[in-house]
Amino acid sequence: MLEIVNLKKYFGSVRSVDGVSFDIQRGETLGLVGESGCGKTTTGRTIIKLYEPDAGKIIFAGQDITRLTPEEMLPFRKRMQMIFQDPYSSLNPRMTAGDIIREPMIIHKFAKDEIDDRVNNLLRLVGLNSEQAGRYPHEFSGGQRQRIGIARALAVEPELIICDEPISALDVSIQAQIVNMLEDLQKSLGLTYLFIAHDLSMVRHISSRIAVMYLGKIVELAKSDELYSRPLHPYTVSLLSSVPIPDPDKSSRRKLIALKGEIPNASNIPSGCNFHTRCPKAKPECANINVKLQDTGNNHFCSCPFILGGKIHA
Amino acid sequence: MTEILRVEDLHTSFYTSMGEVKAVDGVSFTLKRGEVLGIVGESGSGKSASMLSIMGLAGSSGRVKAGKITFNGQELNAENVKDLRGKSISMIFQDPMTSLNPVLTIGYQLREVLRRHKWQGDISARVNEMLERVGIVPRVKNYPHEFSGGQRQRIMIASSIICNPELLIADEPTTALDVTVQAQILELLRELRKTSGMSLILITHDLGVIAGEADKVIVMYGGRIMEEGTTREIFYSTAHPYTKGLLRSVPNPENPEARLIPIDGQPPNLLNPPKGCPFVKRCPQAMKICLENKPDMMNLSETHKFSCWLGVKENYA
Repeated sequence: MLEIVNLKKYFGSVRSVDGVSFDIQRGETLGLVGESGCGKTTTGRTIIKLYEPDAGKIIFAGQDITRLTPEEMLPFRKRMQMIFQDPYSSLNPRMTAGDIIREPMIIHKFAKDEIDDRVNNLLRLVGLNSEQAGRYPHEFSGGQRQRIGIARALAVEPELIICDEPISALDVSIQAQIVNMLEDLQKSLGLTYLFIAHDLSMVRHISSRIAVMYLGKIVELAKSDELYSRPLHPYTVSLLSSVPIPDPDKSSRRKLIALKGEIPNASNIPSGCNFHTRCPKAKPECANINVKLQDTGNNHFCSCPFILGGKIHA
Repeated sequence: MTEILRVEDLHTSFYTSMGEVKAVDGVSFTLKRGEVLGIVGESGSGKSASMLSIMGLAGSSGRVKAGKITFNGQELNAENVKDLRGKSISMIFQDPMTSLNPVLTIGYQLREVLRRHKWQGDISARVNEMLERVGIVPRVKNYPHEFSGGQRQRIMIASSIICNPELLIADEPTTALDVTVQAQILELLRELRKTSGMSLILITHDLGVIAGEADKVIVMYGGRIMEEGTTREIFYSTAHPYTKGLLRSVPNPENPEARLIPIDGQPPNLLNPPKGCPFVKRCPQAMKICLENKPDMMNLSETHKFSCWLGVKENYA
């Protein structure tokens, strides 16, 4: 469905996305996780070309879309849509729910007589009812607003949806509603998701594979189960050890592997392996080595060349 | 352990242009010295409003309508709480960006707290000592924007514990932070508790944080306490349908792929709350009586209680 090759996006001296490669199979959910400033959101936005990539390739359904002009992008925009984190600021407060869902269909020139029917169907599809089409965003709760955002993304019948932290702003009981709905929609409509998030337990639940980003680079990529049961990269190990477990006994048995210091500034990225300044396992040579994602077997990719047990150690 | 805080039948309302919002509707609990109380609840559950009421910070639109708050045996009122605030009882907030004044150096802001509470001793030395303790190399002359989010939250913690409070109220202190930074902050709070014997009220929506940090837990919904118990009771002998729903809404660490079981419906409208139990419209076990009457707290054990009509045997029929 989507292949990203060595994608780069710089903002001045800030190397937000610094050579990212991955692919997503049709019907799959790929989770993209990492902490604030790691470049996960910029990656998502560059894929959909809200930002122009500085280097690399974006191949969507077999076609290279990296250098397409906005006009040439239009048919692809219809096939890839985005759901945003903040259902408060991503909906125009002066438009009704119906108009918000209608707008992309007008842009993509859907037949006029079919649009109204579709708006009603979409509202029902996301668990709202057609009477609510005339209401404004402020008349809905956070969870309902996110449903409107999802209906808007689905309006043009996309194949790929980039979900950028779609549940982070919602209450716990509402998060589960939205996640279940996304899973149901994926099944019934055959959607492919790139699921960007920092909530690692929810990402594990929804994704088939997960990529972990640190300072603009992917450090590890594996099947969800594999990544959580056998994390290889010291950053992933530490990240997973920091996730609180909602179970008092398990929580007390678990050992935290704390990271030193703060995430470095993306305009002044450390040399060599960019994680070496905080890595609990860093060796002197880590400041000078070239790291790249390599298969350690079983399609478990890791960028650290010193992993014990992995093939690349030798 | 001696009791440090007692809250009895607290009622707080906020008056808005749309009408009265009953944010806290009869909340009672006690806290012992050195204990960690976790308060869980969603937006609008009244958890923050309860704490602001204790601190006398409900603001111009808020009013504590009823209730008694006793701190160290002394009943709190609008006047005496001012002297305790920042000294014996301290509070840290979710957003470290807006809790610090952007145009004053952090050193100035920390010294200000000590001056306000007439600190006896070397003020600058104390500021340096506190910044050291929270892992900020003394950068007293720097401004808030020169620090990262995690560092700013550390500075807030330094400022809140600089007068050796007996009680720290932390309102979602790590919600805005990344998990690795969250882990550092929780670790710091744990260490401070160990060395000072301070009590902590930790407000969070993250059940994982609760499981790892709290001795006992209060679950709030619609301004009321739904369930209260030791952390083990809340997680392993869950009684209230709302608490059960919350725990099922997050992925099970044992079986992460299993389908989630969400709580249906939307949070209650506090301007027009249900007459009976605030959870009635979303409760899978709701009965007729739940629509009409608010259930009282019922004891399940010495430490475990819940407010649910399911607790009254004759209602099962």
